[in-house]
Amino acid sequence: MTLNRILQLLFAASILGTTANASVVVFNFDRDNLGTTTIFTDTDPLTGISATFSSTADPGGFVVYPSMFQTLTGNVLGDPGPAGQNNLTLDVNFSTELSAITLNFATSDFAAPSPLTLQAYQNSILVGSATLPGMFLSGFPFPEGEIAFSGAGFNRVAISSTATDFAVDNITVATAPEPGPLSSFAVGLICLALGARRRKSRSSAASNN
Amino acid sequence: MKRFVSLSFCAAAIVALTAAARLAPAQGIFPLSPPVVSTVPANGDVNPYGVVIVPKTIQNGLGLHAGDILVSNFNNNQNLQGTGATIVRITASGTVSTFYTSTAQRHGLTAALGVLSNGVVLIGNLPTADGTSATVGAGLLSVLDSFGNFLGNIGNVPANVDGPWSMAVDDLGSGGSGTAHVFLSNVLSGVISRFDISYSPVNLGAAVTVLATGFNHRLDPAALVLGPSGLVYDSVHNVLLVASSTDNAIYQIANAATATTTQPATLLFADAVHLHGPLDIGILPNGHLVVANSDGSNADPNQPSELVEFTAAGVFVGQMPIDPNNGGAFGLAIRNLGWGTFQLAAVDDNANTLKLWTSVVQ
Repeated sequence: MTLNRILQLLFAASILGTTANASVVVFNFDRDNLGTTTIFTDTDPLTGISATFSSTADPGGFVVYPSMFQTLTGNVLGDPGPAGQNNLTLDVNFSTELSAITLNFATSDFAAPSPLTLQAYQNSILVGSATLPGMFLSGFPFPEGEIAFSGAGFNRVAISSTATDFAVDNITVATAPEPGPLSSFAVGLICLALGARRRKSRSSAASNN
Repeated sequence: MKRFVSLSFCAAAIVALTAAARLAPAQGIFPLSPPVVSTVPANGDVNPYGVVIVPKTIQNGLGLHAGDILVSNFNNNQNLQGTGATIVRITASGTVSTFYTSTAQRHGLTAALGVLSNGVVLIGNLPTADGTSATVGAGLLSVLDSFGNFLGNIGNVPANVDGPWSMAVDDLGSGGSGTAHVFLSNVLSGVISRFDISYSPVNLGAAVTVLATGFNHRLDPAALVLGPSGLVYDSVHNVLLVASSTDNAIYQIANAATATTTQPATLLFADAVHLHGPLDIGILPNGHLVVANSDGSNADPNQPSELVEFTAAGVFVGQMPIDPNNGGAFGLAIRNLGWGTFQLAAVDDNANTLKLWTSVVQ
């Protein structure tokens, strides 16, 4: 997790509206035991926000293993897990509504890098997606990349690739902003204005009668 | 019995192996040092031909389990070709048992051997009465359940089953239900057939397409038969590759899984230096090909029983003899374990053994 990424997500959140009370959380699997397999849930100890990782090949579709990549560090989550199945989609369900996500990925390509697709859902409704191939980095065997999505609120993402297998790490999310002091003040002003307008229209109607 | 090898694997160890190997200077996969297990069953059958690794997608609770290896025997205990009656099962823990014993008209079990995700086993045979090419019969394509019980036949003899010699399976199902494309080489007619199979835990239906015709084929007093042999399906490009033991060449058939009419087979590459009666073929995770040379034609005593690695375009990469004498290599199977790690299982006809490697492509 880098400061740069946090700033990127805060910026993404700010351009969506207010930044008040937005949280940024990283899921990097470094606290998970090696060999942990889907389905499992990681919870951020500070915010209590959790992410549940699953696939159609569970139990054992994806597994936590040590990185053999450059931009994916420490532990990573990838397939095939003990279930031994390839071409899986990784589902990540979050415990709260999010406004932005970014993550590092690698695909098991030997020639042209395959694209990774991230689809964001609000419950079962698709709200947007992003697709991006990685690139080969000097001294490392598989293509790697960083993919991001921000926009409409979402609480689930589905990650897939045309590559046989892929791995992800550093899943960094920003929660959807809640009304902060400035926005609450603005809402208050609007209410006062609406109330004054209503009183004015009532008194105007009374004088006409 | 010597413990064979555990087919279960630790993902972390594989990844570490993958990372270490992939960062080494680029080279081929050979040489490899495998564990070995005998393929001779209680009835004494010899000459193992077909090899298949039971897929991870197999339905739970069946007689076969993911990672089991099946090996078919072509000769009986008198070493007469076309008279072997058994399929041997080797479990992940190395236990060897007889999975299936055929009746007379189904003797001579070949490399036309496959397993579907519902546990159904498909096995072809090419029988002889006396072990010679003079008495070769057309054979059948038999269907077995996951416990080795005979269920019936599929295909029509001789239109699309005529000397079933090798098989490739593109199984799109998982856990007991689905569809699969089963490709079959017919060494007595030079025909490649495709069976489009729909299956469930209790049913199996098949429609047949003659995918390609015209492959050179002939009877041979030593090799018994030569012709279209090993098959492997490249699902990325929808191409079927065919190893021809007659021509010492690898052919390709486009639109293999989707064509509804007979397709042309075009030469991918021929290599008289490194191909010696190629009998089986597989694809490594990086797209390279591994070919097993039977030495049934173009034999070279200085290159006996070679497993040969080529690039996807047919450029020679390396080779390794599976036996010190000619005529030892035949069936092979490759299972992709992910991130370049693979299992390679191959028989040694001379020693009547199966060898199994776990390695990583470079």
